[in-house]
Amino acid sequence: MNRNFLIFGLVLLLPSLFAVDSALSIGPASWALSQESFWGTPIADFVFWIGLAHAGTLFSAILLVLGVRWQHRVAFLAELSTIAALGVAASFPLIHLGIPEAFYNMIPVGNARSMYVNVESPLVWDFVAIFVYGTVSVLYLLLHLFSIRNASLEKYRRPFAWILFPLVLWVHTIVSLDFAVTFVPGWQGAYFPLYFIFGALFSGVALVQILVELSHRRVRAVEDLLIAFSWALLAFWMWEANVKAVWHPELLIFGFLVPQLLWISKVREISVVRALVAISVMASLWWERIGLVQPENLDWTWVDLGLASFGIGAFCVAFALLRILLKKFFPQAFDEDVMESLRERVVSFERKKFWISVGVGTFAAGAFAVYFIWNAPAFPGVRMIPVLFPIGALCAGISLSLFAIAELWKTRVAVMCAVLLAVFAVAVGGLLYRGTDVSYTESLTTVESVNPALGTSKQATAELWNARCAACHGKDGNLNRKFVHEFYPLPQTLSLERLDSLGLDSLSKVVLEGRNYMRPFRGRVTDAEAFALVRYMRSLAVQKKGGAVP
Amino acid sequence: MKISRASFLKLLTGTFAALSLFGCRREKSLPKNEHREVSSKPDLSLWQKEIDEARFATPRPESLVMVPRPGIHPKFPDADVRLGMAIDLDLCDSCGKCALACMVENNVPRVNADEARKGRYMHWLELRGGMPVMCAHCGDAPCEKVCPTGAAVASPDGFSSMVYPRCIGTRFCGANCPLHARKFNYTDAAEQGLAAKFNPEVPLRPQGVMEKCSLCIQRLQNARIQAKTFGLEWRGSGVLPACAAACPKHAIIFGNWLDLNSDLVRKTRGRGIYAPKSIAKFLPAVVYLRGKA
Repeated sequence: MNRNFLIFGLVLLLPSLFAVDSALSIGPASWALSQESFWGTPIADFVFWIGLAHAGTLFSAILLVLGVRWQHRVAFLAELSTIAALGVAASFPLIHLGIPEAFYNMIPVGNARSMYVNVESPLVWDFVAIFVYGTVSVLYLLLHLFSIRNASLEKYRRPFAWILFPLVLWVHTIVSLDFAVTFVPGWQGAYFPLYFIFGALFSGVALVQILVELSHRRVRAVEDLLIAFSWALLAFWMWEANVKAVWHPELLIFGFLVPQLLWISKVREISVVRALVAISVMASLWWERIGLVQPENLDWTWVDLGLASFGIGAFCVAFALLRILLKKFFPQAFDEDVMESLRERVVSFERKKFWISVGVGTFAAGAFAVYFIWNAPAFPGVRMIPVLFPIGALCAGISLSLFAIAELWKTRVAVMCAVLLAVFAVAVGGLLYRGTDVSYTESLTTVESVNPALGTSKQATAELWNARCAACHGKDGNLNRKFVHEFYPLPQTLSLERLDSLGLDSLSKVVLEGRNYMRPFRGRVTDAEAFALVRYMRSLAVQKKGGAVP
Repeated sequence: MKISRASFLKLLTGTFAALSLFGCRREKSLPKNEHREVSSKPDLSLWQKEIDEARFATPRPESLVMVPRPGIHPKFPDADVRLGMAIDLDLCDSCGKCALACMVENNVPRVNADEARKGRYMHWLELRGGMPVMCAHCGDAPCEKVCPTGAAVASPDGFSSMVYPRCIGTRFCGANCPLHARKFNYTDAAEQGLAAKFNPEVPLRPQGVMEKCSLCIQRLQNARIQAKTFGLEWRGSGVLPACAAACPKHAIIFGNWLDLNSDLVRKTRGRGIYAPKSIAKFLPAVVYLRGKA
């Protein structure tokens, strides 16, 4: 299975790297966007993959907490798919950014210039939540792996699952708020968090269904869940159709009607059909996200398709590589008998350490809130609540892992880890606090130019003439004879005919470059001012001739 | 390991040859021995042409609703300055001089043919159905709420400003602006020679950054500094944004909504004040005048 997965993934991934390359080098212009709808397929792909990641946590953590019996049969697959899907999901917002390398501006720490992120923005919530979710998921997977070898770690799994359970719901609620807090008519709705969570779990269950089929096993409960979620999603789609008149028949066919095939027992027995049903569900949910993010009908480019293929390919490759690695280091995890025997273990719940960790998390969240409100009082503190829980969950998860490390090795090792982690955090924070040396220089190829049509005002030009030119040329455009006679040979009279025959361009060039005894004025007057001066000079000549100034 | 002299020399020559070949490579990042290209004066008619093109892209005017007179900015309740504009639609004949003046004042770039086909113009001031539409500088601005980095931020003078070096291009502000007044730099216009630095006081925006009407903040700051040098308190007088200065009918009135003697307040007295329907509830500072109240 791993090899086929890897080959399939590479076939999709390698060509799609060109799409990623052009998405990063050309920027958002390379995929379908307009000056009105600024979010495109990368955001839809992000929502899709983060949804798939949630299902992994559903099966590994939520079902564990709820004490579902068949949970252990899919837990490993689900956890691995969470990590792989999360990695894929996290890459899409980075591709989406206009300046991807500056993503660190979203990290909610202060800097030396007293610039703080806007904690009101759902994107900051999103950034923090996904970072925390990824970290905690990795820790949870490691805990699960080590608990196979070391039975004493088993008692930490349930406390950890209790941290992860609300975190998943929180993360996807925040993803839905990315849309629901905006003023885009199609994205509004208080039902969005639930809608997104159900959609995410539906697609995630479908993914797990496919993975289960591919590993030649059968978990009937997953198929049942698929049917159940299809009805839940039907309710939301009907609601959307009712409230917003958004109507997608293709979603109803592939997302709702096709899963109903599983009611027919003869059909349900065929493994290919079960996989196809799951694929149809995933495809329809991906299409739903596309329709949600981009209601406008824009012309897709090849990059849009390339990014979708990148998602699938990167997931398959990451999943296969993770499995290959695990097989090498934790071969027991793939042994059905070992896993079955593990289930018989007596599982206790580390109550005291759990509450200590929760306390650590609460303290960290409170400290963050105080720090932020103290330093950036301009932002409304209430809107900070969405980031507080993930921060608390991160610290609680880390503290629980430290307890586990102390149990696995020695207390000293755990303290070392804590110190190293603190040093690392402080170092990263310090780097962010210092910031980079921003050079906001402009490209040399920029055309610096004058705009003769606008120029400077007549008043300003007259003042400039009096300051710069009148010493020789006189205030009225006649020569300042007294001065010129003394030092220079007498220049030409600047009559109207002469000025007109020379032309604006060449005269302004004389002003800038100088000629004979006239000194160059470049640097002291701008190009625009030179033009304005020549026009002023002409108006003086017109006056002298007795005509009206045009 | 022993190396004979002949093979050592061969190795050395080979290395030098390889290194010098490496030095001859084509490299974009290496400095080019070229003189800075100072092109001739850019033809303003190109900018004018693009404005006329963009007119066809948005043929419908914004639908307007009546709003109360703009007042105190909700984020700065103690300020005595709330800058804003009123555009008199009874006087406006949509000649487009404001749009051109805006582009020239703020170094707004043109876009290439491909971008133009997709309608991705950069115009800060658009003529939608002949009606000049720009950022309304809302008091309760949706864009400022969702910007993650704080690049879109309210100025204490009561308008909405942009910090370009802080912007990372999430485009959330643009997605959340009901008026679609924000423009994203999809391409590097300077690199394509489509940008011109008409005004040295305004930076050219790099690719990947959002931009929008700044109420000609450079002019406002100059006026403030000038007032300060004379020891005066600046309350928004003695300055005009480029569009207001260019309007031949004086249909664009600029001023301080909180200064009862300002042009803006005097000329809008007794007039019907309207705002685009989509943003009317966000306390806009740029409004439209039409008929009598």
